[in-house]
Amino acid sequence: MTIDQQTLQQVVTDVCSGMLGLEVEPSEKDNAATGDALSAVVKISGGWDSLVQVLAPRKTAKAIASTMFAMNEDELTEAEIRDAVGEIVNMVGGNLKGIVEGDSSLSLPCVGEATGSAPFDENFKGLEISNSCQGDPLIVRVFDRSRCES
Amino acid sequence: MYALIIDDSRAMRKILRQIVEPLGFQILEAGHGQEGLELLNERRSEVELCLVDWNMPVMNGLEFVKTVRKQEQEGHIKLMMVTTETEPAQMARALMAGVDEFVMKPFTRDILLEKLRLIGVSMQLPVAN
Ligand SMILES: [Mg+2]
Repeated sequence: MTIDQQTLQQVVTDVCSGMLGLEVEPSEKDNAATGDALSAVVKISGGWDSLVQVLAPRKTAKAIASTMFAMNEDELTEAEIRDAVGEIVNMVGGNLKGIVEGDSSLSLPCVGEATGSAPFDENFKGLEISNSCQGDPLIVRVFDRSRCES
Repeated sequence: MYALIIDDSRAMRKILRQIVEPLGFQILEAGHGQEGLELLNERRSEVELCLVDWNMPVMNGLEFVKTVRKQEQEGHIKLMMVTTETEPAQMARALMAGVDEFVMKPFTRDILLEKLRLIGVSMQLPVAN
């Protein structure tokens, strides 16, 4: 099975809403989301070569971390905010890997400032969903590396 | 008794702690398998349960499980993997290595409690008043 928009949305909803109780719903893409934001990426290798990115503006990232750590946003450290976003992409990537057939492995999440570098730059052509998470934007992207030659 | 929570995500450790601590466990936390082994070796006879992530730096969950089972002299520590791993071949490897049960991330509190019950974890559920 390949990953489509609907499957990706379902996985993101299961992780954010089903487990964490965050309010998540599909929304129009907010271009401001790519400004001061954190990018968390996992790499899937083997049967399905792909990259999965969670792009969270700081406001969204703080809201997610606040829920996961059960702490007020102003008590959170930068490391805790990054950890929370990293675990979201870990769960999303791990679940997507389970849906696609073939034996693949998942990297550890890599979290940093969103810099818009390829493939996740303004020319990004892979699968992308935009959500509103606790009222703030959250973007999730999947880049199928096996299709990058075509 | 102690429950040992091993996950490289502090957020995930906190979520697990909030579910397991009220069951009457004292909690130990480790960020990877090697650190988990060190904590376990300090209090082996007092640890009833380990909740173990799979995907971690330094030593992953599968290596941790294999090492614990190899070192085990007597008794049986309950080992539950809390992971996104759903690949049947991988799960079979973990079961062969000695995992008692799996919980898939994302999970809910009810699912985790049900799985803990399944493997016979002792629970002092708080009395509602
Ligand atoms: Mg992990």
